[in-house]
Amino acid sequence: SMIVSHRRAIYICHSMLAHRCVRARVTHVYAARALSSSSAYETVVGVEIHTRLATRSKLFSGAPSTYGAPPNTAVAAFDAAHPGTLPVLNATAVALAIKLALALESQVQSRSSFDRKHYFYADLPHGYQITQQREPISLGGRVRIGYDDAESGARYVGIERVQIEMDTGKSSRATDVGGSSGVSGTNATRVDLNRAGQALVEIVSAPDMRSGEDASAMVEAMQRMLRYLNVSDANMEEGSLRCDVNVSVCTSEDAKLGKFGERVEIKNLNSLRSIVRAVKYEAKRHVEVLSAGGTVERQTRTFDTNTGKTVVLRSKESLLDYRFTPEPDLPPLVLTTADVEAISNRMPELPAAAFERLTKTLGVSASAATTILAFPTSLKYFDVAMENCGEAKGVDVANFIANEIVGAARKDGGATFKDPLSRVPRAASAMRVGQLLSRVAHGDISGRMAKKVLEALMNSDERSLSEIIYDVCGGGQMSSDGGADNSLREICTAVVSEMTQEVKLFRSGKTKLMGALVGEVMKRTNGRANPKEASALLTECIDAVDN
Amino acid sequence: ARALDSGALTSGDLVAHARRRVDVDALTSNAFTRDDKDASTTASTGRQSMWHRAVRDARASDARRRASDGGDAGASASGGGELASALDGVPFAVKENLCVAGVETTCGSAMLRGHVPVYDATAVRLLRDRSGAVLIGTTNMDEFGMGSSGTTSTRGATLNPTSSDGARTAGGSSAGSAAAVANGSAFFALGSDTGGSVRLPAAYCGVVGLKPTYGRVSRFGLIAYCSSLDTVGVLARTVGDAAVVLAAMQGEDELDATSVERCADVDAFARDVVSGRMDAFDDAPLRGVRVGIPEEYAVRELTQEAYDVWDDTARVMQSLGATIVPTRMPHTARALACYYVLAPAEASSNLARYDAARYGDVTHAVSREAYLSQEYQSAVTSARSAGFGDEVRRRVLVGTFALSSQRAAEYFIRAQKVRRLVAQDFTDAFTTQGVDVLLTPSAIGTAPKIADVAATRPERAYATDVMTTPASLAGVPAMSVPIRRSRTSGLPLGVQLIAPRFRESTLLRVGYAIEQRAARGYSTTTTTTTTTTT
Repeated sequence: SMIVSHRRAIYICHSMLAHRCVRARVTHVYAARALSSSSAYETVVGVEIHTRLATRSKLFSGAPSTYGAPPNTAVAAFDAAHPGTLPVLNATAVALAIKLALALESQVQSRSSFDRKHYFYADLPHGYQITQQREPISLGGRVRIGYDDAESGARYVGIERVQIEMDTGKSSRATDVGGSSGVSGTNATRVDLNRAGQALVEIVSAPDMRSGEDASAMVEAMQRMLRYLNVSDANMEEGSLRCDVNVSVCTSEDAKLGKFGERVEIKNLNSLRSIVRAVKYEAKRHVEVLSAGGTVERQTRTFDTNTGKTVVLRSKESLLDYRFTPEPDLPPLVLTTADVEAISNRMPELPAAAFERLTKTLGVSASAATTILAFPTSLKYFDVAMENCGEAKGVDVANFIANEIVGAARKDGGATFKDPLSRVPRAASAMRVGQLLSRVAHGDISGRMAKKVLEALMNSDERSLSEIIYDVCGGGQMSSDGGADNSLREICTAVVSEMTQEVKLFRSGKTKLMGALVGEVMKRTNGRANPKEASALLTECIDAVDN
Repeated sequence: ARALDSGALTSGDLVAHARRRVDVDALTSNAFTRDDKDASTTASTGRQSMWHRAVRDARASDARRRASDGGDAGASASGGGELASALDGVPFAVKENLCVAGVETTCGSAMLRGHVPVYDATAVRLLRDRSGAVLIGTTNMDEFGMGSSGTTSTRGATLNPTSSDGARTAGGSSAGSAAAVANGSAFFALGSDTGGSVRLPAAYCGVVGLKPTYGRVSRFGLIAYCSSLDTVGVLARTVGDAAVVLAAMQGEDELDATSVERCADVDAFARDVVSGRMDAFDDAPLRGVRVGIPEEYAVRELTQEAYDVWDDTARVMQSLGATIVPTRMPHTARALACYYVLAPAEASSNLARYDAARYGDVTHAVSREAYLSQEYQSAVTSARSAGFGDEVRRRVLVGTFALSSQRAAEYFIRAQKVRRLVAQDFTDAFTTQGVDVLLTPSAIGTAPKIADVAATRPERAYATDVMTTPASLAGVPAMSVPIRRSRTSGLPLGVQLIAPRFRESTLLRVGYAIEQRAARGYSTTTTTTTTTTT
């Protein structure tokens, strides 16, 4: 009876707390307003990212590490926790984790070890997850978020640790289970162990972010990094990158002293947008509680994308005791400096360095560079195009890719497809686009023509560029130093004599009207005229009439 | 094996003989696992097909021997060849916690009833597929290895075959393996030793029990109890047999990250045994060997006759040329408590997977419908309550407590520190004190009566492991060697030898010398002994 009454006491406390929350909401309207003007509270955010390593097999078994296979078809005896099986560490997973750690300027540990984290759940066959609790593979480090270092100084988010761990299976609520399993009820849970045992790294950030936008930028930067390194496809939709955020609020004075408020963990946010929304909601909730005189409770919450609110998953009383123990089946992971050097010698160019190269060396605009750098495939595309573009400038190649090709590829790929230049048709290969832009730079065709040609290329027109150009633009741009010169001159003369009103105004000083005249020439030549030449010829004609 | 070589016997004969012994065993020792007579699931346990394979394997082995006899006419083949064929056609048994593909493997637990592994444990595979040994059965054991008397299995208690005065325990947890070797059903058997589970039943049943260094034999396929202590061990009739079996299954296994590469010295000793080179008479085989006697093992519970055997063996070793060195191992007394924190803690982790969802048949207690109609947590709770026996439940509870975030520092972490101190004792003895091998009793006495065990409180029962747990915690190899029968009860008494890590060869050579001497009786040297009282 002791236990029962104790439980009741807790229950009563809960309901009192709930009561106070309701009151807080009523009073908050004023409080929040006052706060937002004085901005007395600062939001503090830390993130934990779980990302699936791009290994062929799982972390501790030989089963394939795949996504989207029929349920329970990629499961080794170890993954189903069959008695007597033992984990065998996947060397590729370790190499990928090291690669990531190096890119994050994190200190790779010469000795790391594995632990078991225990809890009972249907999709956790062992009853524990193997992770690196005490001695992770790397400690410290930082990641640069955004590229706006030129203006506002470099912005970095600190990394506390990178640890290797195994994924759990996947359980889903099924409503139509029946027949053979003997369960006819509607509330059955289905378990798919394909994911169980897949290799993950967990990246834990420092509480360095001050908003949901910061956190989202951090995750985006990590996504980019992971893709550049080929460590993970970092796809949030397929769950190969999952994100938990820790949110707390405190006064800005306390923030400076590192005295943060009680934090709440929001689990499993599955899009960048959700991160922004969830942090915003949660921070607001904390401010409401605090300004109503309440205290924020340590909780684990989940974000409901439909309502835009966070909901309690586990409260302080029911936080799990994971009973961490050293994993006795795996000896400590000992790395030599040679092991790490072998990987550091083969590091690819990272997004930050590529950004520098594009903007500083090639003079590409920040926005075009950002678009190109979003995926390693588009940077690769850019680099190959550059190798084939002759005299064309980096700026122009970048703009053409960022503005024309990425857009066209997005349209073709559909709304859900994120990595636009990974599947452009062979006809629109980076090499051919480079060659196309080389012709533009050489003055053979105009930019407008190039766009038309691109359209054909995107439609898998695999003929030679010259053929396409002849077809689409009638033999390329009219040139002043060829036979075509006369006809362009004739057209310009005709335009000057016919558009008397515009010519008159132009003479009176409205030089902007040259645009209209050139436009008319372009129209009459089907866009084949070089606008600069047309402009020069028009001026000549006008001057001639003057005389 | 020599009888097989000479052609006096065939493997087929041995297997037929073993089959009869195993059938009789049901009425005597209950060492072997068997199918329920009334159960309708008999077909799925794989025991019938195991026998079919045993007969096939025996015939194939006989054919191999005939072929090689015709070939090099009994001439001494190369050493490797001798060793490779030493176990060819020899019947053996396996403790029921080592996976055998296609044969029900339950660890003596209702939780794993009907569980048929799809793979062989590495040790089993090496013996069957590479050495040609013939598997004749799996043996009874304390549930999940948790017990020292062979009484906690759902298959009932295994009885000690050497007892002539009523039901006595065979020791545990490798009870069935020890009994099967002792009663002549199997020439050797595999066991597992976590805190003494091979050595204690070996001592009680009067057979040799060898626990190798942690890592010497792959644990792949050994159903885990306490992973950082579990080892695959051998129960055999002689030290030489144990050596040959160890040589056959030792070595690094890519499926077990804690396994180490094979030891050439073990192979060399096994070859010496098989080739008969060890038979040459040597009046001082232990010349130059320093034998440590740790006085901390003279515990209050040690019976007089166990003490006498220990004392006599030390004198005999001296007479065989050894130097006796009194040794200090100050943390010995802490080992038992340390073991009973660490082992349950790891067990609570290793046994977390038994939720009755993927394998194991608990339908005798919870129907599948009832199981599936509950929430996962409550379904698992009901299945685990029904599937685990009292001792297992007790240890899982203790382990869970010891690992809880509130208690871990006080129990688990502290026990880990004590473990390092216990291991340090061994390092000191073997290095600073220059000891080659330690000599201790194998057990505090002879096999107790089953009725007495049942009446003993758990913490008292745990005290039987006091001789064996220190070597387990240190991960060093140890072996129980039978010395003689008790003059009063007629029950076997043995001693334990402990060697430095990976020095099984020392253990085996010293053990061999004692065994040879014990076979002739200690009487000539012990007549002058005056028993010292403790």
